Amino acid sequence: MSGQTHAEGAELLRVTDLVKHFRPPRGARRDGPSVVHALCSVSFSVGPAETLGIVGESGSGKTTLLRTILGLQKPSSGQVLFLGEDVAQRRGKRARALQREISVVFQDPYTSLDPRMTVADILAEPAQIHRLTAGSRTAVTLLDQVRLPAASLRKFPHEFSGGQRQRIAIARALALDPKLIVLDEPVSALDVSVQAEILALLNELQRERQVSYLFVAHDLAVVADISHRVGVMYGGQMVELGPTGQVITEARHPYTRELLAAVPVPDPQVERAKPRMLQRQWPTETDGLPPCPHGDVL
Amino acid sequence: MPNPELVKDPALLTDAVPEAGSSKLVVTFGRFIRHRVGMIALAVLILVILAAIIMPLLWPYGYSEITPDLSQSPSLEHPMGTDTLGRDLLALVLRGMQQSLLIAFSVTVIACVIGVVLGVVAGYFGSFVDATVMRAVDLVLTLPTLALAAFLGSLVAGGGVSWLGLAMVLGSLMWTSVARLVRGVVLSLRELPFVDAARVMGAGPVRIMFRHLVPNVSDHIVVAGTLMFGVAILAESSLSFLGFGVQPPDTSLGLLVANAQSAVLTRPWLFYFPGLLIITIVLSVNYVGEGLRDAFNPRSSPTNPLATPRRGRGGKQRADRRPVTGQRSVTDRKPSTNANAVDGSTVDTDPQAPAKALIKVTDLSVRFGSQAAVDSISLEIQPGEVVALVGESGSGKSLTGLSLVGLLPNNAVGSGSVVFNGDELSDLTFGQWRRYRGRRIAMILQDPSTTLNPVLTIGAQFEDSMRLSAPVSRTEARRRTIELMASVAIKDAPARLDQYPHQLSGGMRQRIAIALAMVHDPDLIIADEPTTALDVTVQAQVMATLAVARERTGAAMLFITHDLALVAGIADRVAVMYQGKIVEDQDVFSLFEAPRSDYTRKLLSLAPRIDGKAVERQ
Amino acid sequence: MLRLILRRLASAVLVLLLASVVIFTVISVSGDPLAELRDRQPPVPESVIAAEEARLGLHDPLPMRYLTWLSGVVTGDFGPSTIATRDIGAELGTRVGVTLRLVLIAIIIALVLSLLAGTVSALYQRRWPDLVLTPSAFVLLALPSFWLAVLLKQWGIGLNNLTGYQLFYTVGEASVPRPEGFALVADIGGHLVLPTIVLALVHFATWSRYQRTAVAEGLAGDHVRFAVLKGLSRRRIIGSYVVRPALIPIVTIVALDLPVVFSGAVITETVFQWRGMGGFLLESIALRDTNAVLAWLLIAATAVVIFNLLADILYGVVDPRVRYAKS
Repeated sequence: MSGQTHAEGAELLRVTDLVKHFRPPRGARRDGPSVVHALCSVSFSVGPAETLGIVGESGSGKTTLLRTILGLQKPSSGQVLFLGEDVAQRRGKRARALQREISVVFQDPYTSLDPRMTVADILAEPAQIHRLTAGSRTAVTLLDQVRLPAASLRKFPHEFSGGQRQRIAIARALALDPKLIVLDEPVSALDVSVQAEILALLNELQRERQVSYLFVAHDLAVVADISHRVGVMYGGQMVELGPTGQVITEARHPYTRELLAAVPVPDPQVERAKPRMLQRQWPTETDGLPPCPHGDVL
Repeated sequence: MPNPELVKDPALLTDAVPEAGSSKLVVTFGRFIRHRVGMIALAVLILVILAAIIMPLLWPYGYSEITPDLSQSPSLEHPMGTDTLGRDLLALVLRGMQQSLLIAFSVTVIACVIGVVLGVVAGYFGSFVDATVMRAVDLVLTLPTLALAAFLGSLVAGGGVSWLGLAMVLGSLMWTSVARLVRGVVLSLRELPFVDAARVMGAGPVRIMFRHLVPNVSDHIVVAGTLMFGVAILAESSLSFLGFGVQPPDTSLGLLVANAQSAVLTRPWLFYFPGLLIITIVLSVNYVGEGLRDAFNPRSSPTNPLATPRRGRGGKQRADRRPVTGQRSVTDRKPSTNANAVDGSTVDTDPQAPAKALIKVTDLSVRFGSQAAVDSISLEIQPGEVVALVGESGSGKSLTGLSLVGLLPNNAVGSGSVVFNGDELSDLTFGQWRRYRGRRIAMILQDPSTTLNPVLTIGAQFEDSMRLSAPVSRTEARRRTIELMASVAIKDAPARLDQYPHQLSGGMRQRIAIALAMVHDPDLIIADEPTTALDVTVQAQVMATLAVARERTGAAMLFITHDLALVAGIADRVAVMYQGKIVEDQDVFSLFEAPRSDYTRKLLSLAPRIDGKAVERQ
Repeated sequence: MLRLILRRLASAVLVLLLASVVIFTVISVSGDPLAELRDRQPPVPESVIAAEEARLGLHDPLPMRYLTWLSGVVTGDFGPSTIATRDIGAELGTRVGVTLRLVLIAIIIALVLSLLAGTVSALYQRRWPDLVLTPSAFVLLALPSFWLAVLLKQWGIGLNNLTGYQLFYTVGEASVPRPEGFALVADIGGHLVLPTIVLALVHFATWSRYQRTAVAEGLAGDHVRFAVLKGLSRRRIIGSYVVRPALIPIVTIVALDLPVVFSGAVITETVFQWRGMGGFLLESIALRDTNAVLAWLLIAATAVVIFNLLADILYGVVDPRVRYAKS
C-alpha cells in the first residue's frame, strides 16, 4: 500500500471547513466564553480503501468531528461531502442510502452492543432497519468474516470477552457492505494483545473488501500502526495532516512534537535519555485553549 | 503492520471469555429463585392472592351476610370472629383483600404506563420535551397526593363509581416516581454507544425507544412497579380509612380498620386481623421487590475498607502460610543511594540479600472462592528501588498491590506473608494498619477524578494527612502544602488550597494525589495504574512527577501498569504477571533486551510502537 | 450563593403559580360546591341556588374566576365558603401552626434517627446492627400509618386506664381549657408525643433505607479507599469522607417526601382528633367547600415549595460542586 494522493474525483469523504460551536449552559457562561468551539475549520479527505488516522487528546474535538460526520450532530458551518454529495443536504431515500455506506464501531465493546439482543438480532438489525433481504450478508457469513464461530449467534453480548465483542461490532458494521467505517477508539478499551488481534483483523478486512477507515484514537502509536495518513487534532483544529511516516519523522507543528515525545518507547535507554516534562507546553482544555481564529462566524 | 498470524487464531492470547451462560432473563430468574427471603415473600403473596380469589367462593358466609352471632371472638365457626352487626370477619376481610388488591393492581398498571411513556419520551428527546415533563412532575410532587385523592375520591364515591374510578384517581397522582426513574435511566442509556450505533444505522426514534431503550429499562420498571404495588395498597387503605375510598356496604381492609378504631381494647380481633393482613401483604410485596432488585442487579459483597480484611483461616491455607517473622532488619530507613537508584545501575537486586528487603512478599495468594486470582507469588522490593509490576487485565497485578496495604475486596481471601521492614503485615487490624498506611506505605490510585474527597478543599485534605503524626497549626499545614505542591510543579499552589477537586483537571488531581503520598516521606509508594485514565501528554507529566516524588522522599516504589513501554523510563526492575503468577522478574535493561518468558516476548512484540515500521510502510 | 438563592426563589414562585393554576382547575372543574344543596329533598327553590351561585361567583368563566380567586388569595382572602359564616383564612390561620409543629418535629426526629440508623446499618452491613435495623425498617415501611396511630392511641388509653394516671394524651393538640404559661408548653408537648412517634416512625423507615444505600455506596467509593490509604482514623473517615457526601441524597429525599409527610399528618391528626389542618381538610371535603379545599392545597403546596427551597440552599452548603456550578 502506498500513501495515496488520490485524484479529486476518487475521494470518498471530503470534509471542508467544518465548524461546530456550542453555547455553554447559562450558568457557566458568566466567567467563561459565550461560545465554545469544538471544531474550528477542519478540512481533510479520505480516499477509497484508505485508512486516515486522527489523533487527539480529550477536548481536542475528535469526538465532535466524528459525531458530525456520522450525522449525530449538525455542523455549525462547513460541509461533509460523501462521494461528492453534501451529507447534510440529503433527504429521504438518498439519506437512507448514505446510512448504508457509512457505519461505525465504537470504543467500548461493553456498551456498544444492546445487552438485551442476541448476536443474531444485532447482526440482523441493519438489514431490518433498511428493509433489505437481498444484498445484505447473512449473520453467519458476517461472523465468519470476523473469525467467530456460527454458534455465537444465539448468545448475548455479555457472554463474550471484550475482544470478541469488538469483533461482533465490526461484523455489524460490515453488514450492509459500507464503503467507509468510522472507528472510534476501537481498541483503547482492550488489552495490548487483544488490540493487536483487532488491528490485524481490520487490516485484513480492508485488503479483502477495499473498505476505507476513519480511525480516531488518542494513542498515536496505535493510529500510526494502522493508518496510511495521520491527522493530529488539537483545540478543535487539525494542526498536522500527512502520510504517517512524514508526520512521525518530520512533524511540523510543535504540539505534534510534544505528543510524539510523550509516547513512551519500550526501550529503557531511550526513555531515560528523555528530558522530564513536568509542565505541558500546550495547555489542556481546562487551562484554556488558544482561541479559534474562526470564532467570529456567529 | 500487525501480526497477521493473530487473525487466524484469536484464541492465542489472554482475552478472557466470561463463563458461558444463558439469556439474562434466565440468569435473573435463577438468582431470584436462590433469594430466600424474596422467595418466601413471593410464596406468601401468591397465597394471599389465591385466598382472595378462591376462598370467597368456598366460604359459607357472604361479606354482607348478617349472622345472629354478634361480636364473637374467633372460633372454629368464625376463625376471625364477627363484628358488631354479626357479619363474619373472615368473609369481610376476604372481600376487603379483593378490593385492595384489585385497586392496587390497577393503580400500579395505570401509574407505570403513564410513567414509562412519559419517562422514556422525556429521556429520549431531552431539551424541551424533557423540561415540560419534568415541570409536570414537579407540579404533581408539590401536591399532597392523599388530600387531592381524598377530594376526587369523595366525588367518585359519591357518584357511585367503584374501584376503577378510585384506581384512576390514585394512578394519575402516583406516576411521578416511575417517570423520574425511567427518565433518569433513559438519560444515561441514551449516551451509550449502542443507541448511537442504532441511530447511525438509520433507526428512527420509535424503534430506538421501544426496541432498545424500553427493554433495557425493564428491570427498573419491574422493581419500581412491585414496590408501587405496596405503596398503592397503603394509599388505598388510607383513603378508605378516611372514608373517601371504598364505600359501605362494600368494604376494604382500610375501611375495616376504620370501623374497628374504638374496638382495639374491647374486640381486638376486629382491629388486628385486617391491619396485620395489610402489613403482611405490603411486607411481602416489598421483600419481593427487594429480591427482584438483587436478582436483576446482584450486589457484590459489601465493600467496607474500614473493616479488617478476611484472611485465609484454618487448615490448608494456614498451613500454606510461612510467615517470615523475627527478621526485624536494622536497615537504614532512608538509604543514601537514592540518586544512584534513579538510573538503576547501582541498586542491589541480588536475591541473596533478603535481610535488606524493604518489603518481602512470600507465597501471596488471593482467592475468590476456589479461584486463585493471585497464585502464590513472591516478590521483594529493596529500599529505594522501583519495581514495576506489569500485566494485562485479570493478571492479578492490582490485587497484589492491594494486598500490600491490606485492602483486598471483602469477598477475596488473601494468604501468604507480607513482611515490611521486618514487620509481618498480615492479619493487622484497622488500627494497626494505620501505623503503616500513609506514613510508611503510601498509595496512588488509578482514577484521579474519584480519589479525592469531593466535598473538602484541597488544603483540608492535606491537613487531614498532616495531622496524623502530630498536631499541626493551620498556617504551618498550609505552608507545607504549598511547598509540597510546588515540588510537584503545580502552578498557583496557594490558590489551589481553597479549591475543590472538581475545579481541577485530571492531571492536576493526580499530581495532588502524588503530593499527598509524599506528606509523610513514606518508605514505599505503590502506584496502581496512575496514568491509565489520562491523556498521553498528561501521562508524561505525571510520570515525571512520580520520579520527582521518589527522589524527594527516597521511597521505594511499586509501579503497577498494563503498559510495558511506560515502565522503561522509571523502573529498576520489572516483574511480569500472567494469570496470577509472576512469569518474569528481572532488571529493566535485561528485560527489554532479552526477555526470558514467552509471554513477555509476546507483549513486547505486540505493543504498537512508533518506530521505523510505520515509516517503512509508506 | 446569594445569586443561587435568588434564582431558586424566582423559580419557586413560578412553580407555586403553576401549582395554583392546576389546583384551581382540577378542583373547580371536578367539584360542584352546591351539589349537596341541589340534591336536597324537598328541593331547594331555584332562586336560593341562583343566589348561592352568585355569592360563590360560579357564573363567571373559569379564567375569570381564577383571577378573582388569586387576587383575593394574595391579600389573604381565600374566597367565600359554602358555609356563609365560615372565614376560611382565619380558621386556617389558627390551624396551620398546630400542624406545622407536628410536621416539623416529626421531620427532625425522623431525619436524625434515619441518619444514625442508616449510617450504622451501612457500616455494619450483614452484621448484627444491620440485621436488626434493616428488617425493622422493612416492617415499619409496611405499617399503615393509620393503623399504627390507632394502635398507639388505644394502647395509650389502655395504659391510662390500667394505671389510673394520665400517662399519655390521646385526644386533641392541647387540653381544653388551655393551661397558662409554662404549663401550656408542657401540655402541648405532652399531646405531641404519640402523633409525633407515628409520623416520625413511618418516615424514619423510608429515609433510613436511603441513607443506608447512600453510605454503602460512599464506602465503596475510591475517595474512601484513598482516605484509608492516607492512614486517617475511622472517625474522621466516617464523618468527612463517608457521611458528608452522603448527605446530598438524603436532603433530596426528605424534600421530595414532604407532601407525603403532610398526607401522613392528615391521617395522624384525624386519629388523634386534633384541630389542625387535617381535620380542616376532611371537614371541607365533606362540606364540598371547594374554596376551603383550594386554600388547604395551596398552603400545603406553599410549604412544600418553601421546603424545597431550603433543600436547594442546603445542597449548596453541603456540596461545593453545586455551589460553584450554579452560582
